[in-house]
Amino acid sequence: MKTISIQSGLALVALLMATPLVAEEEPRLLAWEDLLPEGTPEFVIDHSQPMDQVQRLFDDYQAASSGVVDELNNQNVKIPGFVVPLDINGSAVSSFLLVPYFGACIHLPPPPPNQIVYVTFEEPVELESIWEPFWVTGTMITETHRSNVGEASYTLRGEILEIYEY
Amino acid sequence: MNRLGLTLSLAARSLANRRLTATLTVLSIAVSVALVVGVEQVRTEAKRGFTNTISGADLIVGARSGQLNLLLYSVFRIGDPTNNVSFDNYQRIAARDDVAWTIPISLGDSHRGFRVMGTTDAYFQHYRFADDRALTFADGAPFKWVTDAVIGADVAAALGYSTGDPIVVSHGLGATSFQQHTELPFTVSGVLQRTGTPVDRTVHVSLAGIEAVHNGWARTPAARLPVVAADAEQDALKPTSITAFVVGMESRIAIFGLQRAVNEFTGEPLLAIIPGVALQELWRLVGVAETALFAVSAFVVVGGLIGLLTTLLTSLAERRREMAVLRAVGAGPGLVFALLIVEAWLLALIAGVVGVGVIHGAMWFARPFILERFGLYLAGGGPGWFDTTVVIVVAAAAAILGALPAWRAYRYSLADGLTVRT
Repeated sequence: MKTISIQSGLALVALLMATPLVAEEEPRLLAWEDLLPEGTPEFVIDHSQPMDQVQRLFDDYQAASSGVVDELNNQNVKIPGFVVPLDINGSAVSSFLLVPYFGACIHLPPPPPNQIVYVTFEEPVELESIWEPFWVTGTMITETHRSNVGEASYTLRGEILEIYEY
Repeated sequence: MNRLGLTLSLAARSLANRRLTATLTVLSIAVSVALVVGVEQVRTEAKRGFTNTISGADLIVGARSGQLNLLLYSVFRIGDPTNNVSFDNYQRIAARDDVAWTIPISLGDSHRGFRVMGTTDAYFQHYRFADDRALTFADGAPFKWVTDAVIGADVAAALGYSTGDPIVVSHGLGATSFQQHTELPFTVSGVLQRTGTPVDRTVHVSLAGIEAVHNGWARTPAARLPVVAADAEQDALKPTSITAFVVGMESRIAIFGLQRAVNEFTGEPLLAIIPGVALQELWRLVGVAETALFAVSAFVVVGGLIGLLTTLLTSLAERRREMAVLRAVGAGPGLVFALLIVEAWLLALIAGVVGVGVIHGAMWFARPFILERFGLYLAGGGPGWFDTTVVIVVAAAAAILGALPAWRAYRYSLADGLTVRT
């Protein structure tokens, strides 16, 4: 009787020690800069220039900054951002665009393609408000397709959506 | 029998002895619970109804106004468009590489109070509602001729139309428009399956059909000449403008790019909105009213619970003998205390279950009527976690409130003994 309890006790200890190794890897925390491939030029609006000039510069910048960081493919990541809902059911969303700053859908200029993450959830998740930032955890998929739309992009298979605590 | 069982059966029997007051108390709380649950149910269903109206659309483009305004008139047929989009500019944007498909929408006419919407075949191919469901025909087919019309399920039901029936479109909105386009009657070519969205209350015709009607109307003020040849091929009547259009993108990542291009469009002031974002804006707007509704129904529950407290307290005086008898047969003062708590809890629990049951039953029965009258489909699906929570909270609150009469009964039972001084 006694030996059994000691054995099971040992087993328990072993299990407890093993748990951190077996448990899923912590998601990698990403900042938006991490999505830019190396050598991406920084875009600075020069307000002394005429507006259409700035516009052209910006278009060039957009075209130049469409690369993705390939090593992020299939990685478990966690990234903060603002939600631009696309498919909604009641107050739940099943797909949305995650963007680095609020109002990307209204104000100009919009973020370049590699600063937008297309997030899909298999099960729709409750979205309380689009005026708050969220953490999204899931698997990152990078795609590089040079179609006439001509952009590389990030897609995130979302697992957890949680409100961002400052 | 254990203690809890004993207390329960004592409470139940005591209540059964005071059937009338107990039933009335249960009723008053049941009504308040039904109100809370009903309000919540209608609120969520209305929200679902709204979000179910459009699905899979990436952008909506119309004349520059506000995003809510554009969303409401283009998708929900609420309010009126501020201006039109020229057809040339529509075609220019529709031809862009990043645009997968577009659905033009032309509003402005009505048929016996139902909106007439001009569109193209793209509508039947690409329009999606409620989680990517496509429009399907209950009868007939999409319009083939200029004077063909496809009607929604509500239109068919309310006006008794079926495939092959002639209809007359009138200018402007309203149940009785006197300026009718009688020179160009339309023929119903198809009836759509019910969707539970504003589509059900819409008469769809081709863009050319809208144009035909207006050409005729403009050229013959007295509506005399049989102008535009009916059954003319659609190409013959190119529209000059449309109200708005829905855009599906090749790649959703490119939404912002197109949105910016549309908003920056130099040809005419246009506005592109993301439906999901505009809907969130709408929720924020109606959120205040929702909170107010919920607060009102919560206060009704509080009223019901205070009623319960009153009934229990007033009943105490006449039940002092009952308590005294219980004490005499060996019940401790603790049991008397527990008895009153259990009584309050039991009443509220029964009331909660009755209230939830009644409201769900009523909604199930009233569903066809509400759908017909208000266009609101109560999917129902039986009581959910919200209803369970309400019942639990109300029962718990009643048990806590029950402590007051319980404490008084406890005091009485200690002081009175068998000699009740009244």
